[in-house]
Amino acid sequence: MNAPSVTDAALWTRDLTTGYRRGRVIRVVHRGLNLGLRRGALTALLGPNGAGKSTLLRTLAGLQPALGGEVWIDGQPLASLSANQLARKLAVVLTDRVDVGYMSAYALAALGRYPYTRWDGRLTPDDEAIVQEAMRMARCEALAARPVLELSDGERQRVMLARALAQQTPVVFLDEPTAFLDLPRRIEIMTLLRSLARSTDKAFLLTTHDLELALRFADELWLMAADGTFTVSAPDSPDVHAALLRAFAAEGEAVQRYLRDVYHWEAGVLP
Amino acid sequence: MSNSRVLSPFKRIFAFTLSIALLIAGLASAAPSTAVAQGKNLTNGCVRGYRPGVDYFPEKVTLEDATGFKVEYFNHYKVVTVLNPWNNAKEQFKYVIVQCGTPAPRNIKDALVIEAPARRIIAMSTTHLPHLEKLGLLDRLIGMDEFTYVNNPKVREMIKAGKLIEIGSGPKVNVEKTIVARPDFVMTYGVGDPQFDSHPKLLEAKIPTVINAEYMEGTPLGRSEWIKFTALFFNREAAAQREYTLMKQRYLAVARKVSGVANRPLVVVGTASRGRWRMPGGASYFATLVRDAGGNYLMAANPSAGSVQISLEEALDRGINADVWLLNAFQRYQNIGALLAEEPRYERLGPVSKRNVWNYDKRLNENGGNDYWETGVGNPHLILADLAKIFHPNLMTDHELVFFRKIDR
Amino acid sequence: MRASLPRVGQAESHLANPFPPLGIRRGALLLLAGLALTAFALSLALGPVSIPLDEVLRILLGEQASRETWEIIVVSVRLPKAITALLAGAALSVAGLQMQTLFRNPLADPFVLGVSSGASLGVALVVLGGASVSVSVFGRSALLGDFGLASASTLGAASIFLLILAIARRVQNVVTLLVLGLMVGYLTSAVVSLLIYFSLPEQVAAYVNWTFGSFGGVTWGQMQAFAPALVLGLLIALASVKPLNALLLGEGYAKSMGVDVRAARWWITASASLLAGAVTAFCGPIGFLGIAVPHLCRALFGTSDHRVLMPAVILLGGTLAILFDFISQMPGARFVLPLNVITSFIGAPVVLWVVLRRQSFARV
Repeated sequence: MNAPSVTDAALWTRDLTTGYRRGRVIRVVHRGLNLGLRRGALTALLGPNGAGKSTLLRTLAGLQPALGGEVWIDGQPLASLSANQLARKLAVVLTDRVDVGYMSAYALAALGRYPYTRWDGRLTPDDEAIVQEAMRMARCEALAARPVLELSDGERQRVMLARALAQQTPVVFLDEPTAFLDLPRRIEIMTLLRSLARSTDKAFLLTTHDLELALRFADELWLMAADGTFTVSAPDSPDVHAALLRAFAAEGEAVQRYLRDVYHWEAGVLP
Repeated sequence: MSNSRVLSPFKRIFAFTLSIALLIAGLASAAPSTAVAQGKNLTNGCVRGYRPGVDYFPEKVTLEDATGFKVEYFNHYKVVTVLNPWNNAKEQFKYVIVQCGTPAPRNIKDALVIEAPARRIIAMSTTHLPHLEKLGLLDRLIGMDEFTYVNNPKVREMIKAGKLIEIGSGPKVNVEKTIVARPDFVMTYGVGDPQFDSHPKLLEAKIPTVINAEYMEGTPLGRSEWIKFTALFFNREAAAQREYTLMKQRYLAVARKVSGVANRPLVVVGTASRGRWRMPGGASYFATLVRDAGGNYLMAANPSAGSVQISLEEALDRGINADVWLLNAFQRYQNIGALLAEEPRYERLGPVSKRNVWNYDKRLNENGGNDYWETGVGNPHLILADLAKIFHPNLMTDHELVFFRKIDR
Repeated sequence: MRASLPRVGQAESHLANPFPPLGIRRGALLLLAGLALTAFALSLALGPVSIPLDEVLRILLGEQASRETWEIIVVSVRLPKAITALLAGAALSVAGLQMQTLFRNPLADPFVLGVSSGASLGVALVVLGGASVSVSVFGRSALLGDFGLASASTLGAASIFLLILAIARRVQNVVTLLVLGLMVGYLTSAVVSLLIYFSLPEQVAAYVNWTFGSFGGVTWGQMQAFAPALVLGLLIALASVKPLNALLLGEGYAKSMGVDVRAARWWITASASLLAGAVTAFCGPIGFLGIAVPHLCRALFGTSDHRVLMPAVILLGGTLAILFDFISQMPGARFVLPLNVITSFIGAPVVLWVVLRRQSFARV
């Protein structure tokens, strides 16, 4: 694994060890990770459950302390950033249930300006312009006046994406954005994310179980195996097949066959 | 004297002894009838040799002021009906008191049968104790609901000597203890709430339980006339009539003393609690006492027979000109300062500036049990005298306060 | 499909500008403020004893009235009661709003943290703690000064308050706090039941009387502790408007936006407990205002934005409290009704309405 050059990466790690402490017990999940999230690119983190995807994501987001090594985000060490400073560098879109009562979609997206507003959260005209642009980028400006309660899952997710964009961060994390969506919506969101990555030059990192879509839309794949190995690879690289098999090595025969077929299909080998 | 046809000495003594024995037996069996023939009820013992047609209750009660119960006399049994056992009661209670030694009547439904005179009674209220004492029946008392609040000195001695049992009250009344003690009956009161009443559980265990509803009477005299109710179970009607008449005369004597006064002091009763003031209604028991004692009760115009809650505003507005304030409070205030510390707005009440504030806590036992509710209920003439003395001290110079205590500075 | 809720101060949106305004609805809030002021004035002018309006004005301006009792009534009874109602209504509504947001539960009320249970316990210990205890305590009420019952309830509330704060620092999950509040509630109920079991009927009656709730018991002396405590709590709540908005999205999102969730939780809990505890300590447990007023404001203003809701619940809560108190002691009524009865009668239908309204939205 080569560390990309500093100028390319919005977020990079050096010799990062992830895991957690419970009392005196230390449980290491991954050791010695050197990763880089490229700007203007969509990176997908894949792997079976329990492999440590959330641990990695939480460590990179500063929600969990690293057991060793460093994380640098937008040219600064993660550990040195205050909560507000970090909020200006990293925004998230989660699967958490959002139940905001009588808020309009616009008001919800406007919460993204949180790190920049004054004590009571009042938005300046500039702030509002940023939010409105974010909603346009996330293709949900038509929903602005609608109450969040009325929105479908897909619509609400686009509004949460707009919120993350309004936060104006170089890095955006998305946790399972394709979960709960039907196929057309899943394709829609992946298409949107890829085009946003290009147009805004932000670094997008998403976790997903959707292998086919990841292979098709992501610029880079991070494959996490249950045995602790970690592979970084471009979807069209020949390493991917081996990496996939390794990542899901613990699963049975049916899974292995499936992975081989998908790879061949995506790589255009099968008719 | 020739001894030809007389009995031998042995036989003579035998015959003499036998006739004496028969005479005694005859006298003994005739004794009850003798008492009855003399126009007295049988306060001890049972009838031997029941004869239908004889009126075994020559001494009867007649009710003057109590309206909560009625008695019907039949030759050898009495039917007592408690008409109004509690607020909004949907039932009445009927008791058939049968002269011991006579057969119980069979055609009476829904009634509890108890034999008179009863020998063992459990009392569930301290108000029953003055009845028993006045009727000379304290020796028949075998237990109470609890001892904590008893004031009567004789009963307290009995408690100390371990002669009485404590059975508790309400749904947790100790039924087993009661059964073992074999009372002839338990006298209690009810409020119509099974969460609170003792009689449902007792009756369920087939323990004879009688409801004494004196607290429902609206007048002081009516309430104290329930001594006659208690007397019915012991055939002590004569004593009850005597005691009641005596007490009523004393009551009326006091009332007469103050009836002609020109000046009735304005009386305020009760205390405030967080902006609301609770006091007895204008048609209540206490209001009657105030009126009979020559006072002008602040709430005299109110029609309620229970208690009413008015706003503090109203109480202050009307009470600023009051002359006497009867706290009738459970709390013990050492002085007026303590009263004001709890509610500074009392300061503007007339009686506070006139230093004429009273509470009925002069006689408390060591646990806070107030004798006002024990002796006072059965002896309303004492309460009346106290009130008359507070309202018109110059007319009651020879009376010493029994229940009421002045709250000083 | 458009929302059909009545909205206060909401501009009509049309295609030219699809973005609705995010302002704080100044007009509507001013209207509400006017309502509150009117209610306050009316509560001084009207009451069980009828006092002519010009007399009331004279008394308020500091002049002599024709009758001494009128002065006492307006200054010593009505004025402190009106201020108490205003502050208590505002305090309970704010505490309720904070709890509903912190726990993301529309049915949370100011008492979920168990602070009012602490107050009940304090009162129960004093009033029910055996005849000898109450006799001596009341006898020595000079020691407790103007407070008496209020000190007992304050002590009880304060102990639970400190306990909650200590624990709020350490918990990972906010649900732990909820469980703590519940358990405190159960424990105190059990102790109070035990005390009732062993008490005289008069003591039980006095305790029950306290549970009816009342704004009329706060004297000017007590106000010196009551008002500052509430004002402090309200100020902290107002300053928490921004983190409260972030918390609407949940703690995960809030953290990602830069909110120090632990600290925010601590301050919000502190404010809500202080407000609920102080009101319960001085006025007894008063239900439904805390749960109903936030919902009413959300529906009326059509927003969940705390920049609008916070001042709104303060004003509406105060107004309703004055109204309920007025209903319980209507001029001309022969008797006074307990406050909690009135609040429940009105509060319950409101909660029902809100829950049903939400259901109808979910169906869309």
